[in-house]
Amino acid sequence: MDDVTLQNRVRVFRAEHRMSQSDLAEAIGVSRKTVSTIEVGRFTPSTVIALLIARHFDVPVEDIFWLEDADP
Amino acid sequence: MTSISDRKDRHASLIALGGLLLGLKYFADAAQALAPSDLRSTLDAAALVLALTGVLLIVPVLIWKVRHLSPRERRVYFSRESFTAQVVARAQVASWNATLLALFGLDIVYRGTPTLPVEFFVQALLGVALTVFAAVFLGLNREPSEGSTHG
Repeated sequence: MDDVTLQNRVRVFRAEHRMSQSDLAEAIGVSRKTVSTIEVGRFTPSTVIALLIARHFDVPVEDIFWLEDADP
Repeated sequence: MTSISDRKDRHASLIALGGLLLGLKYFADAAQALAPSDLRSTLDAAALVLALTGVLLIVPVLIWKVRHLSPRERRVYFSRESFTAQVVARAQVASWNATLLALFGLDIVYRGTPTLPVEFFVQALLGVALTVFAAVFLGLNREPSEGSTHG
């Protein structure tokens, strides 16, 4: 597999919608720690969680998650 | 109000902490086979305290799981879709690897000292399995720092 990392804008979308980590966690049925570790890149979410987040913000999943080369 | 998912995370930490204490209890038990006789009663008392504390941490969580979850909450509680579930899986792998290495090590110990009681080997293996699982889980399950963000 290519040397890539998953980047995300979960925190940005959450701020735009004035939601706390707990609000988003409750809305998609995961723990607050799951949301916080996704935001800082410590946890790579499953496809299901990524799609749940995208559906919650009503945007395509690529608007929130994208791949970036690890060594530019 | 605490969500089911957050409660599950807290329960996992309590169980890991209890597991760590029980692992140390098994090490204290195993050490009795090697310790001089005047130290054995101290190790026995330490093992008792560790066992009681570990059980007190774990049993209320297990009772809560059985008594307080509706079918929907049960699906959320036991879902594998979470950071904590991933950490549990990584801790299980680390524990398995450490236990296998300990088996090889204890096999060598057994060949050198076949007079050691079988309880020593079982307790040492349980100690390794539980402490490595708990230590890896508690180490990886820490909260991320606020400063490190992506995107």
